[in-house]
Amino acid sequence: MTLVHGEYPATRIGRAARSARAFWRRFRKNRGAVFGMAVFVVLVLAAVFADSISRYDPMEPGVGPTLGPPSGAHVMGTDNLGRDIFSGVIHGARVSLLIGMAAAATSAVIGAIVGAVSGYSGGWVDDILMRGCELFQAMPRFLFALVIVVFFQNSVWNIVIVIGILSWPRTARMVRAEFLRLREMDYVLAAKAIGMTTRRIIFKQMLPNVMHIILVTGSLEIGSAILTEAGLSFLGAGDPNVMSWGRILFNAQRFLRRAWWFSVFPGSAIFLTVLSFNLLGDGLNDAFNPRLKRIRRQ
Amino acid sequence: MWTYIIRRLLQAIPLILLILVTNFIILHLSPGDPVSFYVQGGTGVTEEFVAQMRAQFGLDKPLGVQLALFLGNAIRGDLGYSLYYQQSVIEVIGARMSVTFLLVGCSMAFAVIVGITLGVFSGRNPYSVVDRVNTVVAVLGYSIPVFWFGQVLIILFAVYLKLLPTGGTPIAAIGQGGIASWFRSLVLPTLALGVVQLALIARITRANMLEILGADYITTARAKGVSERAITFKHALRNAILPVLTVIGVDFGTLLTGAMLTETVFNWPGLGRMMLDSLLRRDYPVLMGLLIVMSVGVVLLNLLTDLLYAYFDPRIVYT
Repeated sequence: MTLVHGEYPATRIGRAARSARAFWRRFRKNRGAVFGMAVFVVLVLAAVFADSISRYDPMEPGVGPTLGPPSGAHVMGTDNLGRDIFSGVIHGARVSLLIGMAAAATSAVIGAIVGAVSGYSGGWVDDILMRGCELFQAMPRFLFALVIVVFFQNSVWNIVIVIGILSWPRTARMVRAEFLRLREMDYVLAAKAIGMTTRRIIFKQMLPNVMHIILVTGSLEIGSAILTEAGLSFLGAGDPNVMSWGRILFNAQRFLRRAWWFSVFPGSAIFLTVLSFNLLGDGLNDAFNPRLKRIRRQ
Repeated sequence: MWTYIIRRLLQAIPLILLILVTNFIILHLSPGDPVSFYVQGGTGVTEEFVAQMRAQFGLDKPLGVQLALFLGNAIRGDLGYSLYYQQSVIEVIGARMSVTFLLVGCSMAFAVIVGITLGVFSGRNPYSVVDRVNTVVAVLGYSIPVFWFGQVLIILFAVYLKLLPTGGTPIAAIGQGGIASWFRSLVLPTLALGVVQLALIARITRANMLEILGADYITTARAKGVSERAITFKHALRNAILPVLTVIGVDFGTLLTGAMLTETVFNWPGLGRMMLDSLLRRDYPVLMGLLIVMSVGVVLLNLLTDLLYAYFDPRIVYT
């Protein structure tokens, strides 16, 4: 780490702590964002402690009556095979969070690298990468994911990779736009002047300055990845070895007339989760850029 | 104008080609093919028969040759023959296209009309009760899974309130109970599919109206004594509507995906359902046909939104 004249580590830490407190103050004011944060914490707890919270194995049939309404023993009722829906919803949190976060992380990494290289280099590199970006944006994302998952293998990790690979363009575009601005800044010029390698300039000097953009789009991306996975599972193309929310809704489709609980509870879980990540993304965005406009959703 | 349209259409060709080639390769690299699916479970199927079938449908040729044959035929308007439906792909798709178009069209109209109305009202009366309700509805609408919303609508309006049918084709409904029954069968699917778009459109219209109503030329118009109604609809809305058009264009793909899920929930025999069924049956010709229809649809819709830009904003001129 190089020290700018007159600046000592202690004051740097002090400044970081102050800006973190200011950030938290702004974030706290947004009630939606706080709600989103709370739901996120509950979800993480549910996912981590799924086995101790739920009384039954979500995949095990016959633990209750067939299509039993909500009761003391089965708070969210049971499905057509007598499986406990509450256990399914709790374990589903694990699947959704895992897929949502891993897919968003994949797309963030690809998007950040493509966006950074594209914005920093400009010229033909930028042209080629942006055309690739457009191609991915023009593809019907969900259909493409469906084709790959149905034809190859519908495992959790395959779904993660497919969603991740199909959803990086939004991050790439935002990072690129910011890099176009940053590369003209004095500190980049200074870094070039002292002979720093391009790789170091991009990843060590500039990338930390766009982390807030990656975080905000990442949060929105988690929500949309969870929706995509739920849609795939709802069409029967999810991982057959795990109980996901979309899969419960797929099973519920034939029993809507007889068992409302079969659809209402797992669906609410998806709805609340996606809502919380959207609110969280908006809140983070407002807290990072108090004066700037919101990152526009596509 | 016409040169612009023609140029845009020509520019779209490489993009559509690239999508087709990518999908063609993925389809043919995947394990299993239509013939193995077709003969699956059949008794007395000989190796020779399978080989003969493969040869008949050109599946024994190298991938490059198959691709060239497919593209050559597609340009001449021949999209091939579906093994499963025993019909040409054009006929299979044509028969179901109207159902999907009906659903997508109704949802889009619903989303645009209600979304812009809500957005304009909210933009005119920011921080009023209605605006606050709109804002909450917009955030909720954006996060709701289309298929689950459809299920909830069925449970609520069809099963418990018994107001509307759970599904069934609108075309069959005409035969049973005339136009009223046709309309009733459309209500729930339209609502289910339209709500996401509605939320997005309302949100963007509101933001734009707010911004534009604060602009200097609006103050000038007020000073000249232009009526509030004219200011809202003639001066402000016309300018606020451009980004809404962009959203409609960009989100058309999402709408098609949503149509697929909605058709599954309401049991409609449209293109979306056929896509899924054809995937499971490895019915390549139908899949490729659907992809062509969808990518061409997206390209045409994007062109249409660009042309509408010029209509709403005369400063935009295409040459």
